[in-house]
Amino acid sequence: MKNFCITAAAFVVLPALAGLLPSLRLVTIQLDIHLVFIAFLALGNPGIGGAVCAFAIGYLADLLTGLPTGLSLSTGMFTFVLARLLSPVAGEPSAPAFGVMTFVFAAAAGFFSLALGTVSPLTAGRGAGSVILSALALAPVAALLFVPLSAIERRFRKKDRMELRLR
Amino acid sequence: MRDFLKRYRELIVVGTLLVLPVIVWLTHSKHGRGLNTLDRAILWVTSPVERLVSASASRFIDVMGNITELRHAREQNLELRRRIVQLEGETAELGEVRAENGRLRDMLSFAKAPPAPVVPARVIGEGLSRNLLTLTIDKGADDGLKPNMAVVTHQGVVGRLVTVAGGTSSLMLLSDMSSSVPVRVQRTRARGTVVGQGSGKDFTLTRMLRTDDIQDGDLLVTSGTDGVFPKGLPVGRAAGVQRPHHGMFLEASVVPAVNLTCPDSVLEELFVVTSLTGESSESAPDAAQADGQADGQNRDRGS
Repeated sequence: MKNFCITAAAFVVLPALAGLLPSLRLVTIQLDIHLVFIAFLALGNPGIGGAVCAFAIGYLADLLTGLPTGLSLSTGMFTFVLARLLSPVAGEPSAPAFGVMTFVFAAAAGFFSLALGTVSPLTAGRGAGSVILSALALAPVAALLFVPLSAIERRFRKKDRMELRLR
Repeated sequence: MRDFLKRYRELIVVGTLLVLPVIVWLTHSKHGRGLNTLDRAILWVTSPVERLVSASASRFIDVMGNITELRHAREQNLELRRRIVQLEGETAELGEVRAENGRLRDMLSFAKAPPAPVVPARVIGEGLSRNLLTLTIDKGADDGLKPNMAVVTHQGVVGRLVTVAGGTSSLMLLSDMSSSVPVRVQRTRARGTVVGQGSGKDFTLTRMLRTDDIQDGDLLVTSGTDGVFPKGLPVGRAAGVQRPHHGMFLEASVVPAVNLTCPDSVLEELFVVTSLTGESSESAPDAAQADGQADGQNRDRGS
């Protein structure tokens, strides 16, 4: 249920940002916001349901680009695997720590897409510098989004504890 | 096998979900894949949010843009108001200069061929007495002026000097009640005398015979017989000519050739006639000839 709520939040926030950012004409750097949601899901040790939700978020991000090529989905799932592997050592991060981790995940996903671009007829459309800049820009956004996302998570954790006590 | 799948279930699912999009990307990266039913359904669900946010953002940007433009318009409005005030001042100044230019142009044409030697002067003050209508000019004895000299403009007679100091002089206007000047009707050369009636009133024509030929609108010019005013200068036009059944003289008003009712606003530049010897050669013979004809007519009427 927690994963579903986070995915639902992503299904609201991602289209909203897709409508907002072009209108503001302020953001010239590509922001992979979907990576924030996927990283948050993965760090919560979600299991198969989390993987499916991450896939759904990546799928949506891919669709919102207007030309679905599978790139956003690939980087999203790469981020999920990476975050899932690091989740045992990450513990329960604070908002700044989550921002830093998202920066690392986004940079790794960017380089992953660059690596895939070498064997694809179309490159990822950006260089290494752009990948780092994009990841850097995503870090504060991730720290900001962490607050409402962790609030959702806390709510479900509290509910789980209450159920355990009842048992 | 079942245990293996159960044990590594998550890993297999995640691996599949990772490899699948990579394969899709590698195969469709050039042109993108077409939208299937699921894609359309997802976009149908999410597009209202996207449209709503986009419309709101555009509206917000428009409002902010309007506010900014309004502020610019306000600043521009203030600047334009300042500009209008400045231009109004410049226009008024220009009008003043144009009026002065017109006056000076008229005076220049008058000064090029004056009826007698003249000295230009400028009005610098107005007499305070209501009984004695005087003006003060910026020329005096140092400039060769003497009392009783005639003061004229290009329009006609103004008055005569009454007191002369070193650098200034006072002149008595023709509208003063103690002023009088001998005149002739330009058309018929009939003689008379114009006297002032005080400020704000027309002159009065006196000592003109009831039988003399004069009509409303006839121009009265100086006769030159008083030794003060040169001959032939306009004094005014006859108006309201009446011939009573008794007495020798007719009654008439004279509308001044020079507006003397508000001297400080009308009269600014004047000429003082310093000598009567240099009368213009053009007007003198005509006037003499006309005088001769008029005298002949008068003699005929007398006989």
